[in-house]
Amino acid sequence: MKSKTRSDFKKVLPLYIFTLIFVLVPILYAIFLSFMTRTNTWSVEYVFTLDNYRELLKPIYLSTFADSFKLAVAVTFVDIIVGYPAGLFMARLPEKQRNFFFAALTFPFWINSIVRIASIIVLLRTYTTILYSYEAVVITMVYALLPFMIYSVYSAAVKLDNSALEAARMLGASKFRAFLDITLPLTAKGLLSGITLTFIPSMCLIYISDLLGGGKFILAGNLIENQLMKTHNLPLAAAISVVLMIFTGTVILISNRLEPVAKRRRRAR
Amino acid sequence: MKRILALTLCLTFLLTLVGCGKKKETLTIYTWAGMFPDEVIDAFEEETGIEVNYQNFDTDENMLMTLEASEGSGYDLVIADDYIIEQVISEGLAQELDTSKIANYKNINPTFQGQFYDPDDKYTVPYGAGIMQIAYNPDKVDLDIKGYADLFDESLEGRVGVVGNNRVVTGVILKMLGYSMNTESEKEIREAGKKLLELSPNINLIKDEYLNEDLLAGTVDVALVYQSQATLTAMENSNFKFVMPEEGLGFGIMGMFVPSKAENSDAAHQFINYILDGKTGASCFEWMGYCSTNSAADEYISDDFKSLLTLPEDLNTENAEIIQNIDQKALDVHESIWNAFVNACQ
Repeated sequence: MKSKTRSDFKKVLPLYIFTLIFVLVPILYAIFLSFMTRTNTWSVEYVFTLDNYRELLKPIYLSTFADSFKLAVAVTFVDIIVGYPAGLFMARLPEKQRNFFFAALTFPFWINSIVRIASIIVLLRTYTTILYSYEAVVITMVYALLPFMIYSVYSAAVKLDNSALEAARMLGASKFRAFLDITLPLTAKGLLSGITLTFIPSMCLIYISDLLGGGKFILAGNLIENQLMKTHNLPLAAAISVVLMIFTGTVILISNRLEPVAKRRRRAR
Repeated sequence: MKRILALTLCLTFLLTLVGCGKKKETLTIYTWAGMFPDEVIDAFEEETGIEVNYQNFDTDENMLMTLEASEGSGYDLVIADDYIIEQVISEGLAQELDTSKIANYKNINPTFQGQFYDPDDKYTVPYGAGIMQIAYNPDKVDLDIKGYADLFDESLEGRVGVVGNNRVVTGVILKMLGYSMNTESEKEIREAGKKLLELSPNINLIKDEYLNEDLLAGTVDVALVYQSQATLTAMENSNFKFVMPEEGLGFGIMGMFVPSKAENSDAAHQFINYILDGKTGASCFEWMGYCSTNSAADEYISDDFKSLLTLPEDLNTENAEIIQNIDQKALDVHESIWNAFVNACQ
């Protein structure tokens, strides 16, 4: 038994090393940097300070975070409205058609996203007047992130046991009631992971807000970019990243918490 | 045994390659992409037998970081912006030029010499200058635009684009108010910030690259653009008008310098001399779309672009300014007023 665990450990050791070097060390370094002092010659002095976090309490940063949050909520909301039914619909199709839809969703990924976004710019410029507006940013983000929502919902819905639905209907539940009591709780996991996969990136897809918003919409990601590329304030950039990481972690944690709630609710009925 | 054999073969092969590389003299140029037409590089290679190794950076800051890391080695010739060259020289990463090796040195337009980043012209030779201009489409704009003040006109609501460089845009407002672009006075910068907010209803686009495309496509009708973008607009559509604002000019100079530990500084001097030739220079400036810094090149620039690519005779250089490094406190004020401006533009 003991020898078996040891050999198991050996097998996963590369994974541990990989995680350590490429995930943990950079994160720790970013956290470390966020408490350091910047110098005027664009480098970092290793003197402890809390100034970077104090700086983040300024209204300009707070309002940017709030704006990013609002945008992310809007994008996620639209993605749920469009993506959830689409995912359910796809799961119900016969296999051949399902594969077709799957391919149709995958095709755009074969083209570089910058190219796709450049074509959206051309389309919006030619046929509408909304280029360089908030709507243009939301529409493009919804488009860019929609596949993730559909995939997530689909992967949960495809495992859905139809007999449960049939039973509910036979026992007199209305269609809506059956959806609420059977389909929704059983696909909640997919929906939640879809929300995580759309919400978090939409706070940081800065190339979309830059290109479609005409430089007028600053996201949390832009703040980091500006500090790195323009102001060269590495510690402040690190501090923004840390705050964003904490925020992201909270969102994931909440969605993990919600999952058992959904399950419990199902059992209680 | 087989392995050892294979290894030996590989090593011999590699060594031969290295040997080959050594024989041919190379010149490593480090600058942005698209700074020289291919013909110019090819002709230089043919004429001198020196192979040009062209390497790109995307921003001045990246260039500085690379040079800092290599302590001034790895490249023979660098072309970058004025303010960063000041930093490069102050860190001792550039070497003094030997003007006796540069016969065409006399061709340099003196307007672009003796500037803040290299007051005694010891380290640099200017290669192109940019003047901030206002470009507009007279078919769509009824105003006769003369200067920055016209950008505030009510009729231009939601139709103006500006470059995405806060020092440039705020600098323009500072000039309009009669201050220096490089003021470190918080009061003056804040006053400019207030004025800048008044511009926000007119702004549709803040973007640093390819503003010319938006002018041509009509997403904006008026724009404060870099020289190169003005030239690109003019090349596509001769209808556009370009204005050197009456309130004063903001301009920038790009300079060539040889890093302190360049492996082949002789070749770098040869290349500088080659570029300073009038005809060669003219083809370079036309290609880049930047203003000529070479008096001998001016006459070779085609008539279509002469007004854009050479300095006007009556230019009042006293009211022209280059954006320079300012202290951190002033920069922070700049950043905060810029953020407020961007937010107001939404």
